[in-house]
Amino acid sequence: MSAERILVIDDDPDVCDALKMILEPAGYRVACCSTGPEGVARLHAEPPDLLLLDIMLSTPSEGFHIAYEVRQDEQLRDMPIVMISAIGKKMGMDYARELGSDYMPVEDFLEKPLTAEAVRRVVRQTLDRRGRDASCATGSDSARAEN
Amino acid sequence: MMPMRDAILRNFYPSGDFRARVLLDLMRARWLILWRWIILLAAIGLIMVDRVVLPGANRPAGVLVCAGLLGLANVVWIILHRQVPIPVAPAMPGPDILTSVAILTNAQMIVDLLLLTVMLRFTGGVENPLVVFYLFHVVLAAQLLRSLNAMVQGAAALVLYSTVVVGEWAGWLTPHYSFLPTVAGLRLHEDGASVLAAIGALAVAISGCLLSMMRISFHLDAQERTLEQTHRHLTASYQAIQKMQAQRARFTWTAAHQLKSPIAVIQTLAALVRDGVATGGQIHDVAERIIRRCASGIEQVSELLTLARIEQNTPDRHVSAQTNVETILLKLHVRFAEPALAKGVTLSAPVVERSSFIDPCERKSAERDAIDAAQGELYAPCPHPSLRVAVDDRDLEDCLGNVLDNALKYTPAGGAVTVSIVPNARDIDVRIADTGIGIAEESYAELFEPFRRGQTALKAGVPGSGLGLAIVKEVFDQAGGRVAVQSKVSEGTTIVLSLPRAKECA
Repeated sequence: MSAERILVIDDDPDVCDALKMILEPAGYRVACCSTGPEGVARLHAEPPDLLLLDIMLSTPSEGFHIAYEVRQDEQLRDMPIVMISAIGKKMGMDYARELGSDYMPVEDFLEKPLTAEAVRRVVRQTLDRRGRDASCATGSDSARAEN
Repeated sequence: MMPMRDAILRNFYPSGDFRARVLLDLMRARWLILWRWIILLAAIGLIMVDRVVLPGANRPAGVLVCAGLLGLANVVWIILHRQVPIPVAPAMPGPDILTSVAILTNAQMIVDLLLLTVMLRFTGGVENPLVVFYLFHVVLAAQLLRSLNAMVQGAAALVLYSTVVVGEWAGWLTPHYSFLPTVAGLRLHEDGASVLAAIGALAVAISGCLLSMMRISFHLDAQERTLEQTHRHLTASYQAIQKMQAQRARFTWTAAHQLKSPIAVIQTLAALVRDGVATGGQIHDVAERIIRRCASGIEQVSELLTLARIEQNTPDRHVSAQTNVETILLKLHVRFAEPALAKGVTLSAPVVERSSFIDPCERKSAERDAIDAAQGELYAPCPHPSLRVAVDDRDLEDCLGNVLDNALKYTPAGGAVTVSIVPNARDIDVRIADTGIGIAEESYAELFEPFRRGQTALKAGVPGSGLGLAIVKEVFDQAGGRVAVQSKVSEGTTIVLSLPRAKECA
């Protein structure tokens, strides 16, 4: 079984490197992009299994705009997204609500400072949940096909 | 012809006119209609009293017909009022409604004048003291209608009254109905002098009422306009304050986030060592990163403090400033020479580019140099005294330092940063050009916003607070300077800072 691929979009190279240090020994393949446009291009070129996305990039809300763009994209709409930011989950969600309810479709929220334990747990849970949802969808499709 | 007619009609009541507001309020309350009913009841009451007090008086049927016509006219006005949709106060209707209101009011007042004149004709003419109702009418017209309309109403009152009294005197209008039929021998209507005196007195009274009331109306109009203007300014100020408060809140939020970020990263990196995630050679690398992030956090706080200092100070400090821009650039050259050398970037000393413009200060300075040379004094290169700008020296050092720092940060090894000074008639331009990574065009608009960093800067992974150019913008906004950016991705950036010259040369 090939390693699950994770794309990190964060303008802070130290955060990208820390995430690599945390996730690569756990068996994930991690790629980093430091800007939104670069990250979006990478998403289309090599869709990952999970996107770790910073909120504040070149603008304070660029991360939310990228999440919105992903959810609008036919090819990428089912990709799990975990937001990472120093502003905290509650404030992040409040901020997303200001932009509009469409800007909140993320699976989870990781608050900086990050710990290896929290990052690995959230990533694992998100990927597992995604896997279960995918198999349920396949199962129901097969059941429908059998009927 | 239609546009001219429309323009004339629209000129009845321009929106915001005090008289238009008063008239609209009266129209809403049906004030004129209400008064007409009261006058009608009073007239009927007077006729009845007249019959009791003066049983022998033979009043003509015209009196009752006139009272009946007043009531009938009032019913017509009520119907016409309903056709004009006046919005609920304080909303002002559009010019079409205002024009309808003005036409309806003028029409009512003219009909009232006609009926009053007919009533006077049947109740004594020149003998009747109820002529004062003309004045009441004119006062009302001067307060409610535009000047020209009020003057027309006044003239109409005088012409109608004169027609009755002159007609009775000349015998065109017969018979004459006495005001008090039981009192014999009054016969004022036959006395030319009395008739002339009555017309003259009414003319003076109408003119006096019109002039004084119109002056009061003009004054009230002017006050109303001042109040409206003040209200508009206050509303605009309130909105500007609200916007500023929202921007301030957003800035505080962003600043808090930006300050939390390096601390959060430091904690993340420290946890990697504590939890055994970073091992072997990685520990030293992580420690280096922690030290670097601490330094960048301190730099960010310093820049925030600089921005706060600049925002807190009044812009007046720039007006009297006499800062020599070359002195500041030489100082900065000394400060940045070593880091530039360490990075392998060529940083040239500031060069003054001579333009065809020679200002009086420069001439004075040249004369002084000539005197120094004649006296055999040692001449050492020193900042040119004419290069003085009206920007506070500390602020200017911060601004130019930030731009130079950016130029060096975003220029890779082997590149060059050049600094030149170009004096112009009103400004002194400082050009800082680099051969660095450049700025993407889409980032230009937000380049000077706090905590905004260009895509190329983020892609290059160069650390920065995003406050340097925000400080430059704040200072230049205060001092009246301008900043222009020319850039090409992967080729370099030139930032031209136009600084206002100092007011007086030393």
